[in-house]
Amino acid sequence: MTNALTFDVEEHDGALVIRPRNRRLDAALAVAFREELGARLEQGPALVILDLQDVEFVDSSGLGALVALLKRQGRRGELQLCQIAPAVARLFQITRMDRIFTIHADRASALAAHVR
Amino acid sequence: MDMRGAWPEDLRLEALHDMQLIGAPPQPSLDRIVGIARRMFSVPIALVSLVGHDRQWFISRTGMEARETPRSVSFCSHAVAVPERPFVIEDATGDPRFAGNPLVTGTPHIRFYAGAVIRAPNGAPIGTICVIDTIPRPGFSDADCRSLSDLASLATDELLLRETARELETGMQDLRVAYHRLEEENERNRHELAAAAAAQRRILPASPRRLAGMSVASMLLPSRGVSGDAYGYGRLGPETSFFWIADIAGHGVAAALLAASLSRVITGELLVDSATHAPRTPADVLVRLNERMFDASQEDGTYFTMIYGIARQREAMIEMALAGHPPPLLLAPGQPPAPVEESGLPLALFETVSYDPVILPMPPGSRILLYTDGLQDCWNRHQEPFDLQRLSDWMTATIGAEPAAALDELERRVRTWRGVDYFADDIAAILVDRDADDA
Repeated sequence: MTNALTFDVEEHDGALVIRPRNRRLDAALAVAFREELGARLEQGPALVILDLQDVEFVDSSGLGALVALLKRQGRRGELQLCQIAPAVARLFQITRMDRIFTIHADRASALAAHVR
Repeated sequence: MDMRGAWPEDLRLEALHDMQLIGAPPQPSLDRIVGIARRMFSVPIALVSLVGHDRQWFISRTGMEARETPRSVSFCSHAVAVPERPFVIEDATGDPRFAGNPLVTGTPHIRFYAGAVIRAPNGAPIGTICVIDTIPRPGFSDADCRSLSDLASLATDELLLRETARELETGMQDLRVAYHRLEEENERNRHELAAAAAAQRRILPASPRRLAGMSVASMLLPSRGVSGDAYGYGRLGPETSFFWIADIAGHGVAAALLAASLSRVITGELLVDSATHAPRTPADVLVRLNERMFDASQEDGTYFTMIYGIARQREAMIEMALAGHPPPLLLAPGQPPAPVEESGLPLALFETVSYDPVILPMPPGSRILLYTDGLQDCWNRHQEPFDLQRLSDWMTATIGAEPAAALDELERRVRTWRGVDYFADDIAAILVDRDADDA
């Protein structure tokens, strides 16, 4: 059950792209997700894109962690999401997070939107 | 000559003391080694001796009656002082150190002595294995010395084994004590959790219950004794009823505490306008609840999803507001079950929220299921969720059943689906019927 948080970080055109590699963002990972990514955001550029292509499932704790990051980053820049899985999109629809987060189809369109 | 100089005497004595060999039961393995020594060197006496501060003890012996002697007359005391090689006296009467020794001049009349040290696990020379004769034995060879040293090594290994076994036994005892403490603590925690779960059930409303124009039943299947799910229902006046369900993010004790506080906050004071005594609209209730529960200082604070609804007698509809909660399932007579998709933001997550009123026709004979996401996300052993299709099937199959009986059937189906006797997430559900004879 021990399942450590792993994520890749890249910088593109002044945007920080973070790709969590865990399949489930749930209560077991929520605190680490919030704290470790939160610390990473503070050193990075104003625009952060969270690439969720590997994340198949987000539970309520995971959603709380995402919103905590959004609020934290909102003070100094922007946090956007891309390539969210169908089950995650469904959760976002039910909780209306689709109105709170800017969500792009994939990483390329997220970066393109930023450049434009 | 200082006989105690080869190893610091205090460390040597400490090592000896730690092994608790003196007064311990005889050790057959040492007795066998001593027997081999006697036969190998054709001597009448062979011993394993331990050299203490002012005495020496023979913990294994053959051919010798005495179990201990003063250290002052000890040959072995000389042997441990030169631990790197066997200590050999070929004829004691010819050696000024031993010629007047009472063990030489009297019983057992030692003439020949050869001793090799045995060691504590830390290497300290604690005693010897020695062979003794009552006649002089000139010509004790290097090969003899090596054989005696090998026997001493065997004895040392035996003592090391014994020491390891003793440490293991001590470790096992510590483990047993620690395990016992954990068991006790676990038992206490189980009791406290059971008490908390019972307390939580007491603040939930009775099921089933008849309200103004509605019949309601509910169920709670907590994941870990206590639940982060909560619900309530009751009357707001002679003609109006309310119902709500909430799911605190996360589960376990922290979520249960917030769930319990929700049950205390959602009362008449919040639900009814104190000036007009009219029920507040569901959207208004959720906005007010968000004001009470949102804490700006708690950026990572716990939030919750919720549905609040009211029903008026003789009105064939209900009014609800949804805060990020899974869509309730509405069953109207003659139609398939349909999810109610209108939803707003969860509560206590953002400082400012607003909700649209959701007004649903509820003709007599209709029913609506409100549930928490633990139900739809309930996985079977193949990690398949108990999805909307199964929920619809259950609802269709239980048309006409009393709400309580219908929920019993739902619980049966979910438990069968789950296949194990615990849930990964809390499951709560309330089933609200518009009474058929009430319109």
